[in-house]
Parts: sequence; C-alpha cells; structure tokens
Amino acid sequence: MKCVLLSVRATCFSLLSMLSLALIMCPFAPVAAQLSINVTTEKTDYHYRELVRVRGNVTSDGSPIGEGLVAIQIQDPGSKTIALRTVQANATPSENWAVEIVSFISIDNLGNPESIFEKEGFAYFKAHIRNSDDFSSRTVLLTITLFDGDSTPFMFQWMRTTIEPQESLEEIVGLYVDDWVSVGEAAAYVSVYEDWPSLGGCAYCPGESVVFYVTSATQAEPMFHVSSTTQKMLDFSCSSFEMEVRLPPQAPLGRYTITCSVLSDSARSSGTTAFNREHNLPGDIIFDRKIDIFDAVTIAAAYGTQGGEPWWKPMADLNADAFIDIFDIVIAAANYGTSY
Amino acid sequence: MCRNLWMLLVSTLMITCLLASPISYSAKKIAVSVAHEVDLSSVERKSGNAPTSADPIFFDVYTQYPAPFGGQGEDKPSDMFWPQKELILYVNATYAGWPEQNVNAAFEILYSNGSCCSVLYNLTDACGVAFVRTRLPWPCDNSSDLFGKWTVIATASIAGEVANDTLVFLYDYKVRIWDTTNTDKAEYKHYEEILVTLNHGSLAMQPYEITFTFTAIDASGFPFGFSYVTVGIGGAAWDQYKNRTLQLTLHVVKWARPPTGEIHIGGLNALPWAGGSSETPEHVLQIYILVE
Repeated sequence: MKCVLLSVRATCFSLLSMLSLALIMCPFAPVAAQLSINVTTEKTDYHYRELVRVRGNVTSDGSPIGEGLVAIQIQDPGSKTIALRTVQANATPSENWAVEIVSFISIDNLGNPESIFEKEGFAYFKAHIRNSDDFSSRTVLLTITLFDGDSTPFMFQWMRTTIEPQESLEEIVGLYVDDWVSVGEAAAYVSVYEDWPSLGGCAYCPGESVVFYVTSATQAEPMFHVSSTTQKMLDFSCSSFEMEVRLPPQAPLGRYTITCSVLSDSARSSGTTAFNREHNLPGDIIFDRKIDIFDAVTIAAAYGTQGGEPWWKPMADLNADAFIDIFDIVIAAANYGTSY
Repeated sequence: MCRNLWMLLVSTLMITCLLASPISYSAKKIAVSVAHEVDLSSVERKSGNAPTSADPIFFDVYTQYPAPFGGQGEDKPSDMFWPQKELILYVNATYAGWPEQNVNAAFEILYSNGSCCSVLYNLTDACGVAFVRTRLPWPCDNSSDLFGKWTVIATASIAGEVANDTLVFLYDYKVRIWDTTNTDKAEYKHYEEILVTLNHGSLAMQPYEITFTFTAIDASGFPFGFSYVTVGIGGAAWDQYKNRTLQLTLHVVKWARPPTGEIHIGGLNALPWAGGSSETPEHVLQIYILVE
C-alpha cells in the first residue's frame, strides 16, 4: 500500500513539474498566427481590353496585419502567367531580406541607363539580386512584368536558378515592345519569389519598379503623357491591396486565375479567385451585347487618339494598332445593328 | 524516497534539455557553415616532405591561387585551370624552419596522360621561394584531349638529399554547358514563350562570375529574343563538378520567321563590350516556329 502511495506521489510530482515547466515556457513558445488572405475581382466576366481590378486584404487572427508582402499572379486559361507582381499589404515590412533586389534599371543595348524605347523594338532591363544569407543557398524565381500606360501587361519574362550564400545574380534582358502597346509612360516591375505563387511560393522581398517611356516610330516628338491608370495601388490601409490589370488584345477567351500568396512574420497563406474573359462581338464597346449608336458615339469620341492620350479608349482599338482610326470604324460598322 | 529522487532527476534532465535547445540550434548553424568549406578529403595523398622532428626539410609546391586553393601545404591539390590560363608554380624550401636560398628547384609538368609537357627551373630567393611561369597549352588540333588531371613534380637538392613534392590540378573549361540543356518543347507559335533550361557545371573551387547569353534566331537569321544572365560559379569539391540549373523564358515575337529557329547559348567571363571572352563552347538548340 505504501509502495502504491509512493508511486502515486511520484507521478503527481512529475506531472506537476512538467505542468509548471509548460507554464513557464508558454509565453516564450511561438504561437502560430492564423494568417488569411482574401482576393476578389469586381465582377466575374470581362470583355475585350477591359480593366480588371484585383482587390484583397490580409488578416492575422481576424485583425489587419501590420505589414506583409503579397504576390499576385494572373494566369490565362492556358495557365500561362501574364502578370506577376509583389505588392505591400499595409506597411512595407522592414526586415533583412534573405534575397534582395539590389538594383533594377532600364538600359540601352550598350548597358547605359535609358528610359525611352520605341515600339516594335526592344526595351532593355538590368536586374541585380543578391542572396544575403550567410549559410543557405536559395532557389529564386526572378520575374519582370512590363505594363503600359493602360495597365496592360505586355511582356512577362522569368528566370529561375539557385544562388549560393552571399552570391549575387545579374540579368540583362531585352523585351519586345509590341505595336499595340500604348505610347507614353510605362512601368517595369521586378520581383523575386521562392516559387510560383500558384505553387505556394511567396515573395522574398518587396518588388522594385522602373518607369520608362514608350514612343512611336512615327511620332515626331516623344510624348510623355502620364496615364492616370498606370498601375496605381489605391489603398494600403487596413491590410488591403489592389492591382489593376487590363486584358491585352490577344488575351484568349476563358477562365483566368488570380493567385495571391502572402508572407508576414514567418506565417504564410494563399488565396485564389477567377474571372472569365467573355466573347464580345467587335464593335460592342460598352459591352451591352449589341452594336448600336452608343458604341458609335464612344468610338467617335475617341477617334483620332492613340494609346496614352486623354480621350484614348483601349476597348475602341478594335484592330489593336494603338490608334483609333477609320479601320476601327469599319470593323464596328460591319456589325452595326446586330446583337448577340 | 529513492523513487522521488529518481523522478526529480528525470524532471531536472528534461528542464536541462529544454533550456539547452537554443545551444543545439546554434551548434546546427555552425555545422551548416562548416559544410560549405572546401572538401579536400577525397584527394589522394601524394609524396612530400613534411617538417617533422625527424626530417627538418620542408618542401612544398603550389600554384598562384590563394591558400587553400593553390595547393599550399602538404600534398594538397590546386584549384582548376582553364585553356590558355597562365600557370605560376612556386616551391617553398626550408631547412629546420629556415629558408633555403639559392637552391635550384626543378618543376616537371606532366600532361593528364602522364607524358612530360615541360621541365622548368629557378633558384630560390631569400625567402626560400622559387617560381616559374608557363601557360597551359591549347593546340590547334584536339585541344580538349588535354583536359584532365595534370601533375607537377618539383624537386631540389637540400643538404645532399633530394626533396620533392607533387601537386595535381585539373585542366578543363571554366564552365561547361551540359548536353541536357533543352527547351520545354520543339515547336512554338508566335507570342509563346520558349522555356530554356540550362544545365551547367564547373570544377572550379574558387568563385567566379560567368555571363550566360541566350539568343534566339529565326529561320532567316534575325535575332528575336535574348537574355544575358550573370551568375556565380565555383564552390566545387576537388574533382567533382558543381552543377547548377538556370531556367528562363524567351518570347517568340510575332515577326519571327518560320519554320526553324535556334537558341544560341554561350558562357563568357564578361560581355565582349566589357572586355570579356568566351569560356565554353557554344551550345545550340534547334526549335521550330509555327505559323497559325
């Protein structure tokens, strides 16, 4: 009996020790915060060259996060990425990044700084990134997305490799500026990720951008019209983020996927949403499923303008040549009076 | 009572283990850093005279690379050399720790097949060091047959004894583009992206920078896409290729002429306008350009 009592006492003592130890250690133990990201678009169906506004917010245990990096990847129906950017949710995190973007500039073909590029030619960019980690090599996905003044992503390039500790990597790339790209202000965004956000990868560090100007070969003087829609990030408060993307002229019909991944205080989360690029008959500028006088008026208002100018309407550029002229009128007139 | 003491001991042990966990973490970090050091353990020991109490003669041959990459020390191999690279060989001769001055050192350089390439001589200076310069050959025919493990045998007569040391180094391209380099598919339409996977490797133990160039050319010879990527190479263990992979995309512009195309991949120490030159033979990938 005494033996049993002693055994019970010993067990109680042991449990008590463990409990008190757990209580002592508890405040120091990291508690995994429940990070969640929500991403939406304004509507589910979009038409030719329509603007898609991607919005979202990030919360940690239901409260807005203090700071975080959000990667936004947009894939077309063929799973081809058309745009990938890193944006900040709320404040820019002030951490020592394991991989950082040292510099990102636009250059000419000799490597000198340059910010004016002609359409139907190459725009050159130089990105320099570094693995600041002392011990670990890092697999990096370096992406460059070019947006014109209408927020249309017109070129996306990526590169993936492994960088050894304390080593750096430099990429010089020439990206073609198509003839349908709006002249005026444009922007290039570089970002570095662990992997594709659609595969769970998060951004290593805040993205960098450079503003450049697209000119037309036929233009006498370079026109530097600053577009009001160039990739503005409207609201950083309350952990929300927003990105505007206009569908390129050759964007295929079907379902587009938007994947967002976030990294904040070592916690990570991802969210997805989708929208459809719907068919619309050429000439239906206001997307009411018929070609009538209202479409004609809209085209007429934009007549004679080119990409980047104040009255310019990308949806009215039916032949995707960055000019609204008689050829667009002819296309619309061919379908005038029809509905679908 | 005894059981109580035993339980107390167990609890104390658990507390100690938990408190000690940060120490084990830092120990792991140190272990990681050690893992990145150069591993020369696989290298076979060659003949050489170490400064022991029994043998006062110290005789060491090494190359111009900084320690430990030059093979400084007892029978250490040197880091690799590439075509036409200058080779500077040193010997350090001492007797009982004092420099052996005015000793005529002989350096015999052997090809990878063991035959003699050259024998060079020089006198040691006041520090007991002698050096010779030569350049790695690159003949017009079958040059790459010279690649492999080269040997240097250095000797000198010190106090009536022939001191000797042997050094080995590897002769290879600074970087190699492997045949597994490929594109994601064979046929591309306009506006599509060509995904190029470059597999490259190097025997270099020291860090170097290499600029890989990717140029896409259409059927009529027009370049329609390019990218230059400067990456670090090196960090190889001796006689083991350090392989790396690089993937990137090239855009097929709408004016790329069908039906065929080529991706030209090369590796330079810097771009030509910056005074750079090629470090490896060009690798060409064939593609087809389709018209919808």
